[in-house]
Amino acid sequence: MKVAVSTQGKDINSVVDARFGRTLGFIIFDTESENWEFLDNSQVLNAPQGAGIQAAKHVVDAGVNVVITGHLGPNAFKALSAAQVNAYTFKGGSVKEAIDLLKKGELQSLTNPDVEGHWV
Amino acid sequence: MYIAIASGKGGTGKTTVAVNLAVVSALLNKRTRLLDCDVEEPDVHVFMKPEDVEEKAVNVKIPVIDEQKCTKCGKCKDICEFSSLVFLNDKPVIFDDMCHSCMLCLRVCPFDAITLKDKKIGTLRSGYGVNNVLLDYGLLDIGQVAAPSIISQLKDRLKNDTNNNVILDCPPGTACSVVESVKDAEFVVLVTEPTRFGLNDLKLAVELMRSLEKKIGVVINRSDDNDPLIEDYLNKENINLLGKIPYLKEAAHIYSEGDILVKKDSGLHSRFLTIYSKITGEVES
Amino acid sequence: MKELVIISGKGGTGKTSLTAAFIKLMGRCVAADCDVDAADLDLLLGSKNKSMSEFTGRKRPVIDEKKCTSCGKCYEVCEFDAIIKGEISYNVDNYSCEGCGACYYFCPENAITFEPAKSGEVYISDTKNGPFVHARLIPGEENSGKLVIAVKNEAKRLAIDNNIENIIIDGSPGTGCPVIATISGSDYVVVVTEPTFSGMHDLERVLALTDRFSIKAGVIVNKSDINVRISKEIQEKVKASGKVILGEIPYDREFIDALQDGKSIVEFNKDSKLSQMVQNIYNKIIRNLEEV
Repeated sequence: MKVAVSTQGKDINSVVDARFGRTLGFIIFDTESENWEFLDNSQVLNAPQGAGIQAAKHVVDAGVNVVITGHLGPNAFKALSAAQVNAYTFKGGSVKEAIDLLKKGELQSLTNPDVEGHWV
Repeated sequence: MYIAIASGKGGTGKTTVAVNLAVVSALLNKRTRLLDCDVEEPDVHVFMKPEDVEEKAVNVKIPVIDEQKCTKCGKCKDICEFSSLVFLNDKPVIFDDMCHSCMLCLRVCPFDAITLKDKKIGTLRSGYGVNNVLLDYGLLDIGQVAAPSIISQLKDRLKNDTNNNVILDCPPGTACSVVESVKDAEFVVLVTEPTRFGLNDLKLAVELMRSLEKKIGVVINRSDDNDPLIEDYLNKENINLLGKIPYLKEAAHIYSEGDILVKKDSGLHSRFLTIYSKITGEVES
Repeated sequence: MKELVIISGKGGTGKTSLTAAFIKLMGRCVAADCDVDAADLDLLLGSKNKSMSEFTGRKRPVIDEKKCTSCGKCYEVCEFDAIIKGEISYNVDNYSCEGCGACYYFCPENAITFEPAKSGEVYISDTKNGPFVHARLIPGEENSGKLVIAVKNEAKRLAIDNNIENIIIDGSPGTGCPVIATISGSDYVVVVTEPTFSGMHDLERVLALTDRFSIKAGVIVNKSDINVRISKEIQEKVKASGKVILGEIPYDREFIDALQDGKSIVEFNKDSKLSQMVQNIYNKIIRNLEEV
């Protein structure tokens, strides 16, 4: 299973970014091999429009099955659901902590968008 | 007569001027129609208190993909400028909120796999208010972005209606929704206040109206009686000063209660009457 | 890093005057003006050494009249009535154009180019308090929040580069896209309102917006003595909704006098009753900001 975690830094000990579309990047973590890599999102971060959709496309194209982030707007949520990617919410800790909690089944799943989109 | 009331800056008294000119016009026994084009924050109805308001939904057309016909060629997503059509896991997904209804995807699809559906973006309302002024106003649903579409549908109501004095209250600022609002007006009244903020934003509004080749005049609201800051600028730019509305605590109170100045204060009534006749003079010249 | 945003819903409530005062009271901070179609904060901050960069928004079609054969295909496919028949060729009405590219795509003569065009300017200046980012939208352009995002990104970059803790942002009026772009991702929102029917109506819409983004908000009732009854009503409503009243300020001519002098209220007359009131409100905001 491949997990994408939105983050403010570039490694597994970085803090999870509450934002999905306008996050700096994602740590893509493979739960089988325990390997991880950084997926840059800076182009989307500065994109004028549809950051949530573009970021979703980005992680879907990277073959991700699960997303961990702070909040999801309606468009990002719709995009991830359309690609059958499950989303979980986590705030205030590192990427590593988020993945450990996910493995233990202790993360709360996002079943609805929890913030309003903002089309910019 | 068809005039628009605008201002570069919000809160200068644009709505106050529009409402009071409409009532002055109605008191002169003219059939008067008032349009509130500030569809994000419409406030005119607070003052005009329309009755028996008729309501109509505003829809726009957006695309739907027939998955039976779609071959996933991707042409539609390649040409969409608004990121509203995206392929996810090789499947097209349409994001309604991002769509500008340009129909380009429908036109380029080689397989006729795209059809249209209606999407509601707001409502148009209409009713007779104070002194039998007909008020039309629109309200954009929260979260929708297509303000110019509602404004343009609101203005469609003026077609086949040439017997009215039309007064149109614009949205604040100088962005594209203001352009849509003033498009057909014969004359634009710019409302400002005698502060450095007022002057700065007035200059932007003048720049915009001149690029649109509109006839303009200026009303100074909350005037100190002597307003050299604005008046020097108007003289220099050769812009007509239509009149001044003094700052009065009593006027601020009347406004705060949602009441109409010209009906409560005879001094203000004659001020607005002067402004009104200057405007009709300008429109007829 | 903390981001404090001041918004108002309705225009003319005194938002920018109060923002300038808070910036002066904050000391070192990055200031940003996100009210991009009426950017007025500059008039009160006394900024210097302005540098400018161009902001490009959407793409714009341009018709080459030498190549145009007036076949009318572009006119036919435009949904926005933005193609006008001219004497020599067809032309684009930039104010109506939404930048979809249909004309460019369908032109059989390749007479139309479609490239990103300048739609505004972003400025960086120095003030006594630190860097200041502001912008100007070219009149008539679409204010969709993109320029607001550009201003905010620049402010964040300056805060990081200069090791500055706080960013204070003057927001735009309304509840639409530019405001949403302004408050998204911020830590605390201050709403400046006035005791009028329209002020109350707009306040409700703005607070609904901050709720949706789960951002903490506090309210200042400015010109509170214009209508004492509505002022009380607003304060009760705000408290009932679980939000903070940061303070009320009676109508004061000093606001305008300070503005005409190009100064913030707290610099214009720092010992006045008004300055004291603003100082107290500021202290309350800082306590709230620290709790976030």
